[in-house]
Amino acid sequence: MKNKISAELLKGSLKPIVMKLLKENTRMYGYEITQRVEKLSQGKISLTYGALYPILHKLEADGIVITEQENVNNRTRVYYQLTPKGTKKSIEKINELEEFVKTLAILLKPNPSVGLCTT
Amino acid sequence: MYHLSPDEISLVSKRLKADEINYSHLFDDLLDHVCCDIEGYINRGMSYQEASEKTYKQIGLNGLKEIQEATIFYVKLNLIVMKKLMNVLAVVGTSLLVFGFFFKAMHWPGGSMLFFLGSLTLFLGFFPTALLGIRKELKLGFFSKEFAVYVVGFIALFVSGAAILFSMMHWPGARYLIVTSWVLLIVFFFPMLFYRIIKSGKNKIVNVSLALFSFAFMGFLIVSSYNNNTNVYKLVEVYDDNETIEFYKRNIDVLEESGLIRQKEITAFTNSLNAIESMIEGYKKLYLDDKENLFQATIDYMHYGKLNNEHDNGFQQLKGLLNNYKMQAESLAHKNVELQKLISDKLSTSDKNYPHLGPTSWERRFFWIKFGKESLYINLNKLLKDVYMVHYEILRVQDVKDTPEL
Repeated sequence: MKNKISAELLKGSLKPIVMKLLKENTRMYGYEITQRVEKLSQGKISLTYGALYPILHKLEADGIVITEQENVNNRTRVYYQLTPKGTKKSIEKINELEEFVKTLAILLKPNPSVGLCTT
Repeated sequence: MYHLSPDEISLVSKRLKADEINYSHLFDDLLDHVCCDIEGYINRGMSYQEASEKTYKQIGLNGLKEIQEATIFYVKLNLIVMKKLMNVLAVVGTSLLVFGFFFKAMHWPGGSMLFFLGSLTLFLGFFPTALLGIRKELKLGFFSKEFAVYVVGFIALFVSGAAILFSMMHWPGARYLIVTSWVLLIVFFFPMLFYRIIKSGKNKIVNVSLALFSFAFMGFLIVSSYNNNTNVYKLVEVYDDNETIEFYKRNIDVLEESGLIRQKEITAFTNSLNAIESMIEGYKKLYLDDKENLFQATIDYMHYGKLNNEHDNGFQQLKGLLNNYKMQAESLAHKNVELQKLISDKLSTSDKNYPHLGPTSWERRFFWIKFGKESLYINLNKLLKDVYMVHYEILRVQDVKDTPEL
């Protein structure tokens, strides 16, 4: 059984993760994004419908992504793509997330050299 | 690689429709996603039935609807907060206005303050928030032409609101604000609005008739304020003066009833006030009975610089009464500098020299057509208000002076 990362921990990180994927892949559709996240995280992170679509639609409303509709296998597929503004924003968001991860790592690493009480 | 057949896709589509998924392109998003999931399971060896059951199980009961709700909520979160704020501001602003009117009607103190705060809440709080809300909901750019119409409308509304507030509070400049708001509405707002409506082509008949109706209504208000007796701003002016007079009367009653004033000295003073009041009230009644004639007299006066005999005598008499009253007031005010200043300010009957009119007599000042046909009525009312103000201030000082020191 793979250990999944809890939704609570993921909450704020999903948006930058989705933006990073879009930045690297030009354009993607919903299912593709969930599959990519699951594969890259080796099954530890699974994006549910309920987490993914609010984010994608919010990004669209904020002008960070645009959509294209295409007919694939007898149904309409909606592709998401970063706008120039979105590309800039995604770099900011990814840096922020990296900084957060680094800080978390520092916090979680046991560091006996720093005494809490020196007097 | 298995792909769902059109029939199988339509089964999924039916389910989405049953769940009323219709927000933006969420239907297409979910249809494709569910189909992909089912295909994925089928490719791993499941039957269509098993695959779709597993997919729906993952989504959960009501899942599709909840996804739509979550999406709408997340996208419109700012808008929802904004709407709540708008509601609060609207309720607070209008209740302050209503209470302000109520207080004013009951002649309780603080009415003007409530009115002022209510206008402030609406004009600085509610309307700007509403403007931004409209922009967000209609997804208009800050510099788009559609949004410009709303901005101009808002500015016109803001300026006319300020005009009403200024005129109620007797601050200078109200008239310029009124004219500015009219110019904004007629020269900018309505032409822009018509242009946008005709160009957009949505619900043309309804929109055009609504806009025309409001344009006509505006025009009616503006024209009527020049030619008719229903000028809103003038009514406000008269109402406010009457209210102030009532306020002083009540306070004077309270002072007299307190028994702290030596009645003997005051009696003559009060009689003079009553004489002035009955004369002014007489004129006001005359004015209401015979508006046209009196207005003609006003015009004559402006043209020939002289009243007809009847009115001339009347004004000379009023001037005499006022001068008499003024003398009494000055003697009662003693050496109180502030009171002396108030008296000479409010009760002056001397001629004044105005740059654009030359020397102007006291009588003539009553006939300035500042407020149209009602000028004389309003100016007389203002004089009465000033007299009452002086009267009250003097009695108040008498009251303090005659209080035995402890």
